[in-house]
Amino acid sequence: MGHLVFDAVFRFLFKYPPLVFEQGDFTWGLSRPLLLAVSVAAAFALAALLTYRRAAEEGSLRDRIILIGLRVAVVAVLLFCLVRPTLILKASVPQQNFVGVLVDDSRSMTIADQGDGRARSTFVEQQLSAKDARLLATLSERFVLRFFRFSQSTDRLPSPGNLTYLGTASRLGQALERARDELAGLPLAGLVMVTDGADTSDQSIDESLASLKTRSIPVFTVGVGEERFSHDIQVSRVETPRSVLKGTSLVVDVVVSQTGYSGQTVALNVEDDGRLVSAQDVKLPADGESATVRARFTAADGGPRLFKFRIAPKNDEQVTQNNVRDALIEVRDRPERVLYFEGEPRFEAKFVRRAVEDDKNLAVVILQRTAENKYYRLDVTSENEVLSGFPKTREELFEYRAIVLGSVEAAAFTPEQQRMLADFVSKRGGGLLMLGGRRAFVEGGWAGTPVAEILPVVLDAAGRQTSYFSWLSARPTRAGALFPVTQIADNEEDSEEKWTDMPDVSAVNSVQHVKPGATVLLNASDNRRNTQIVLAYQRFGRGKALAMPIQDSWLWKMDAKVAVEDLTHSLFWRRLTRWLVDGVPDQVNLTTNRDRVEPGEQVRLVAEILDKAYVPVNDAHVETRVTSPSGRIVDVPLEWTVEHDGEFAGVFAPDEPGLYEVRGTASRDQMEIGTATMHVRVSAGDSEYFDAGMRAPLLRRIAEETGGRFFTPSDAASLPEAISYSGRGVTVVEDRELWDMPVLLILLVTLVGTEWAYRRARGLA
Amino acid sequence: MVRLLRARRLRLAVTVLVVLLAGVAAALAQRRFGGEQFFGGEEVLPNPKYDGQFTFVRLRYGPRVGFVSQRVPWSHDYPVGEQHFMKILNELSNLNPHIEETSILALDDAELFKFPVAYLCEPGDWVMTDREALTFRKYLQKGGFLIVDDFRFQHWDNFEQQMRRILPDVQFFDLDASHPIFHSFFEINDLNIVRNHYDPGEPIFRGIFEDNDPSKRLIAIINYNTDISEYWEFSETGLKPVDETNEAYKIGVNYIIYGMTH
Repeated sequence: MGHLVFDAVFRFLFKYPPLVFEQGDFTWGLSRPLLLAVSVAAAFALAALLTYRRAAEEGSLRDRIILIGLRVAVVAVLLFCLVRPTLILKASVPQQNFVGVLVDDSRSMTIADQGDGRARSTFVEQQLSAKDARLLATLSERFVLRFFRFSQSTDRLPSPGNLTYLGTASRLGQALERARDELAGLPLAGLVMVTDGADTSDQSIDESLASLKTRSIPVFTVGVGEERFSHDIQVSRVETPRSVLKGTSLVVDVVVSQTGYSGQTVALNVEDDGRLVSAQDVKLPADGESATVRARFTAADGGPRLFKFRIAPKNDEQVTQNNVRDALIEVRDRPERVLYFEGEPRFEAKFVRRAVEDDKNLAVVILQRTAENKYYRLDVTSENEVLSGFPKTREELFEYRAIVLGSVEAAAFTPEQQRMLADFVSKRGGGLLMLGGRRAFVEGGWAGTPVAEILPVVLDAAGRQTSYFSWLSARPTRAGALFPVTQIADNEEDSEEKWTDMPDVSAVNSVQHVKPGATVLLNASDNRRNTQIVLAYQRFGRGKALAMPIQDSWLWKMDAKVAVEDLTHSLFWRRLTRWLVDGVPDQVNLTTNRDRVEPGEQVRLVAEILDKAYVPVNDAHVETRVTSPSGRIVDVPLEWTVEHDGEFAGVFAPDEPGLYEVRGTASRDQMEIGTATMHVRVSAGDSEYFDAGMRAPLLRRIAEETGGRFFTPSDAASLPEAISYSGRGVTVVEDRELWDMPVLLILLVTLVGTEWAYRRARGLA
Repeated sequence: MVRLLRARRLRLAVTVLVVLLAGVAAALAQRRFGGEQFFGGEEVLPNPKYDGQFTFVRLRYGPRVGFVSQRVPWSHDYPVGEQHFMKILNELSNLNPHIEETSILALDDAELFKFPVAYLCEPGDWVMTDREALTFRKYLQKGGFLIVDDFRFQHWDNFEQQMRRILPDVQFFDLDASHPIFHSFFEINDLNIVRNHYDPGEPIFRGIFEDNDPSKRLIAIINYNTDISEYWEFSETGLKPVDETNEAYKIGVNYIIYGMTH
């Protein structure tokens, strides 16, 4: 509204709208008679000044200065008019130029944020497609119009009445390029883009803008919609793993933002294929701010599962579609192999075994050295598994996804086995956990070994204490309080309290320092008041290494003060072991660039192929079998990308909505390396509704970089004029004289009136 | 009348004095001679403090006494039996147990829960308070493992009666040599060993399983009609045959390894 008033006042005072001044070149229309007139005027001015000599004798110095100033100003205005100030404009020749009108046809245009429940598309209907549409009429008077609709694709439209607003994406750059190409070779005055600017494209718009700039095609953007909603709750981001083990207790960060409901409490629900698996209250943050909520739930069913994170919409919310986010998670239902090597008979092995034995997704093999070169094997899956002790080859070792080392000294391993253990973490990407005990850490001679390099704690052989024993009350650190393994109750507070109830455990290894980059999850004050580490981890290479330098975590189960039905020890070890195997790669790893695509959109499949020693394989034969929701099968071969060792890629374009299964098989020399299965969801996306406020900065940038202008519905009436004077297309030169601008007359009258009034006031008349 | 009263007072005083003296003497005897001279027993050694090392734990039942003797059934073969056994266990395996120091704990002692393998002998004389029965049930349910030994044929009824106080639905299963407990360290394929020489018949190895399910872990192994700790105790005397003593040690080692892994 302010714009309109300003424009009207400006036009009244200066004869033309501001746009004319912006686009025009200023010049003086001087000619010989005029020059004469100017000379005469100058003479008059001199005479006028001379008349003040008398006044000088009458008035004070200040009076003289003011009066001379006023008189000079009057003369200056007159001189300005006399030299014929002129604006030279290049105006489009009516009906000689084309204008491309691009209208956003995506779903976000239906958002009703235009007041009185009107949608963004109302502007298009009223100004461009209705019979009495004013903007369309004005534009049509001056230009030949070509209409385009754009969303995930861009198409020509016979008229703007044929929009459906069903597009599930907005690709602004692509739309501009398409219009540019369609109108190439025609006299183009510019492009008009009516949109909310919510670009959902992954690609940068820079390239499109640069090409328009070099072709001198101005883009006039009309931003529809509010920049910020007055009432909206949005589930902004959900970060879930792509793949988890069945039965895993997940803790997922959900970012919630809002406007208009600050301080209110709403419920965040998590659904697993429609079944409610978690519900928690969320206190909404201040307007415009984000709050991170930790949603806890269990992936109880195997296969590809669609999890939804939902906040029930409020009655007066402007956009309700952004209250839910979904994520496809592959829930693996298979036993993950873990090797627990214990160097001496210890109760720790017994209780770890009891803790994980009911977990069908963990296959923990216990290799207990009961005497020198004598091993007691438990829960082996084959007759010969670890028959002669700890694996001696990489192929054998790398079959496991995690290794737990109990009280076993470094000397029990050959140097090659120690290197293999380090590579198990860094190259194979496995999880390694070293437990405390009289043969572990420094006491076990591990300092200076390759395994010490990957451990998250510092093994300082120099500071070795001859005998160390301390009772420890383990407590979670700040990181541990929120960590899924060490958060042993439903929420942070209960977990903290539960830890204070846990019985003490003991340590015989003094481990007090972690490496840079490591995270301590549990620690305790020992009997010398030093902070002893109870559980720490760090990522190393592809995998992770953990240190738990206590010797009897089984006391968390067995101690007299723990109730028989208390499952904390079991829960802790199951989670710890599951975390160890989490994210550990297979020999064939299949991924896509995205887990959801639009029907017809291409999916890039990427497979990483590794041999049994986890060395990348480049000469593999990799096939993927893609099964559509209706059961149609397409084989997609993957080729080595050459860019990365062991990386194979291929594309397919799903056309049916639903879940596609992709099963990859890799082989070399007729020998199968392995298989992998993943799923791709094909459906219309809802990204249009997220961060769906009108993006004025982007639209302004598009306009400015191409030499156009940014408009909103309130000032869009001046759009035709702006295109007219953009100087592009077929133009004529127009002179716009400025000497008769009303503002000059007003100035003249004001100056003369002021002089008169001053004289009267000072008695100088 | 007065004389009668005096006589009664005197008798009471003498009785009190005798009782007092007897008490003091017993206390002194126990203190100075470990009770051995006075009652023919041996002083109970202090329990070692928990340090994470394996410690042999003998269960004590009945009234608390500071000495052990043949008249204190739970203490039979203490401490030499377990000391010998621990010495052998240390030689044979990586266990690194306490050798000279062994523990004696009551069934309701909170400290017992730090030692998930416990040894009970002479179950024919086994008595328990309700508290002991309840506490020991928790011990077994949480993961404790019980070895019952020195078990004469005629003592079954009392043992079963006491065991039912701990686990009311308990079932007993006769084990054969195929059970993993007989293969956890040594391969023991014949159970007609370590015979009890004072009762007829072969030893019977019985088990109590978690949830009474033989596919689950053993929570107690019962050396019925035999006494393997007797072999341990006399292994250095030549009183028992070497072969059978070896078998007794082998069975003991297997029990401990099984109890520490299952």
